[in-house]
Amino acid sequence: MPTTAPRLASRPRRKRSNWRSALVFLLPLVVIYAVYFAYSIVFLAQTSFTKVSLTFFNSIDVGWRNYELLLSDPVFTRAILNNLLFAVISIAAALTIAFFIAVALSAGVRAGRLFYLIFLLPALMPVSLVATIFGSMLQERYGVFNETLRAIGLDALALPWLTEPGLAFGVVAVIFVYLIGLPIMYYTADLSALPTESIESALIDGAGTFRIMRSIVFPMMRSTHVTIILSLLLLSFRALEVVLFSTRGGPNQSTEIVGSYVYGFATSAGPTIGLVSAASIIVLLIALILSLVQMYVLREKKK
Amino acid sequence: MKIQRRLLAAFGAAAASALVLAGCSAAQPGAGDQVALDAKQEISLWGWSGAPGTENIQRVIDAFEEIHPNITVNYTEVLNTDYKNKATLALGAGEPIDVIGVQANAWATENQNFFLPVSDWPDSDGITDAYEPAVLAQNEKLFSDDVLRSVPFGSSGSAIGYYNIDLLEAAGLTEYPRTWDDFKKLADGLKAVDPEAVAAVMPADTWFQDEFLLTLAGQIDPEFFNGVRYDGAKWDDPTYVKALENYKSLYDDGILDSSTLDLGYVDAMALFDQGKAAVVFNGTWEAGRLAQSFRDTNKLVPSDVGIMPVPTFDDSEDGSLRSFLDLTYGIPTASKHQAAAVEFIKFATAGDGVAEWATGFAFVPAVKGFALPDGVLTTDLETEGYATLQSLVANPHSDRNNLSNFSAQVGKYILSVVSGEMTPQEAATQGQADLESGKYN
Repeated sequence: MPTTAPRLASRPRRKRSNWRSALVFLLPLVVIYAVYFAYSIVFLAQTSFTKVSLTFFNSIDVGWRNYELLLSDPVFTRAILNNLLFAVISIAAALTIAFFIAVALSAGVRAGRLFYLIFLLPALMPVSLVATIFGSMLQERYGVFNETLRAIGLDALALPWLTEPGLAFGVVAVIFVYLIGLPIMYYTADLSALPTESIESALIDGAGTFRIMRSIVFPMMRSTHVTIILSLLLLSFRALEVVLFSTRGGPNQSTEIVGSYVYGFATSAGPTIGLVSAASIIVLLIALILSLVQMYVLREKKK
Repeated sequence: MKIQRRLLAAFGAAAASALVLAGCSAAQPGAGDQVALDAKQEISLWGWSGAPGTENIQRVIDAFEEIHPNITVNYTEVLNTDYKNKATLALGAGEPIDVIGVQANAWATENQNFFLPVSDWPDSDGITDAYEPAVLAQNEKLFSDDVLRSVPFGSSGSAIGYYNIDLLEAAGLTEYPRTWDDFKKLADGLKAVDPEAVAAVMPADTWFQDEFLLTLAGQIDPEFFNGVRYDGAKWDDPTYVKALENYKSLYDDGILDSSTLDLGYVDAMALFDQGKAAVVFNGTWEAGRLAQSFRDTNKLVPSDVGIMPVPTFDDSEDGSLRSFLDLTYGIPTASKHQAAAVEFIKFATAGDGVAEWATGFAFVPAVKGFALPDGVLTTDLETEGYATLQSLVANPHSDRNNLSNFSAQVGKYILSVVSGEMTPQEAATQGQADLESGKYN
């Protein structure tokens, strides 16, 4: 009896003490965050209401004009849509092709490590290099791909891959799919840590390989799927090099993404920094919404 | 509570320190305590790639340092596509730059507060007398307050054609094609003897598509571009629509090959250099190909190269182009080596340094009465080509004073017209809408 009361009284004190210790350790990070991140965002938001060049001389307050320009610009809205479409394609490829490859590699196929390296390699190479090689290979008249097709008599298939909008969109989509090495790595790592009891039970019950994959392995890797989906979704907004070095956003801006749209204005002379800032704020809000979705999904999982 | 207050105080102090540090780094150093011309010193020169190129400017620096052994010139070359941003940030941060390459476009106006007026340069009396008056007049247009803040270095023009005499002769031509009808003969003749080769290539980069289209527009109405650039004339003028129609017809009639419209700048030049294209359209800055020494060093296939204007649709017209001052040299107000900077600028733009870089053909020099040193050009074709280039740059139909991002944007519409996704009228109307939108100027 005498020991219970003092123990209860000490808990809030210890909690407060823990909270203070945590604050002391977090403080340097908070300061860095406040100075660099928060300041940058506030600065970006302020600049987005101005018309100004990179010199920041003669800044003119234009209110919501930059946002109006962007939201009424079909190219900008198409760029956002393209971003999401490329993300969806990338995610679909990750959840199917990457998952299948990871399972196949984990199942002990011959030369598994070699295949693992082959599939992972594109993701380890600079994206700009990968996109440049694709762009060069797919040139209509002198590209290696079309020259090969012509050499084997398939002239009809030697198409204008980079100058026809539908084909160019497909080319960018293929590059996104080509870069699914990281999802393969995530799946491979998760598969090796998967508890095997359920699979063994299913095998004893006579379940086939496809059934085991569909009903046991795939659902058990839910957290990996969520991580992959959200990381690919957010990464698509940073995939500037994929577009810039393959199609340059063309033809007729059909493959433009937000990154390439912003890049065009940010690297030009003229008072475009306000517009670029406004575009960045819009992208930031979209990323924020995606992050909130992520938090919501993970919270549901905990419940 | 005590700890919380201390934490808050620490947080506040850190934030204040960060702001003070940030403020200090943004402050510009003063230009007091100028270093005398005869003192031992190092000066910093900034320029962008191709203006006039590292090797060319290094020859100028070497020659200058030989005359002025007390002055060392440190050259920083920034990639041309990054220059606008990097140079602006460097000037804003007060980096010690003494001579800066000033781009002859909207960038000069936006940054004019960083440059010392030429009238305030030490020992600069009569400096402007050395330059061609027309080029100096272009230089003055760059600054909104009519105060000259840089001096001209060299000019360039676009578009022109470089032709491979071997392929022209193989196609049965004895002289370069002056009209597009003549060019059709080149295309047909070449197809008959060498199906792998193409009559012409050009960079499909959108900014160059705009350059080429404006060259065609200038053939129809020489006042078109200057009217838009300086006098508020309309982009969707019938002249521009007609130029788009003409350009599309070149592809529809098989004079130009639409399968080359995915070639980037480097690829287009490489095809010409490898002898796979009879003509490459580009700007005057690629004129190094005229020199045998350049062709030998870079192992170019054409045995001889000539220069031609962009062909015309009407055989009664002469070809022309847009040209403008490309590079000018200024002195940042923060420079502490202004006397040495002026000395270097005089040497490089109007003195013995001109011959050092002009042989690289990046620009046509702005100095009065310049002629290339003997022996640089060795064949008649090369000599005639350079004379054509000088004449075209000196007599443009309009100024090549571009709005860079607008140029890149309308270039996309031009490609869409060629592929049939837009009509010429739609492309012109969209260009006008973009111009009025406020996004590009």
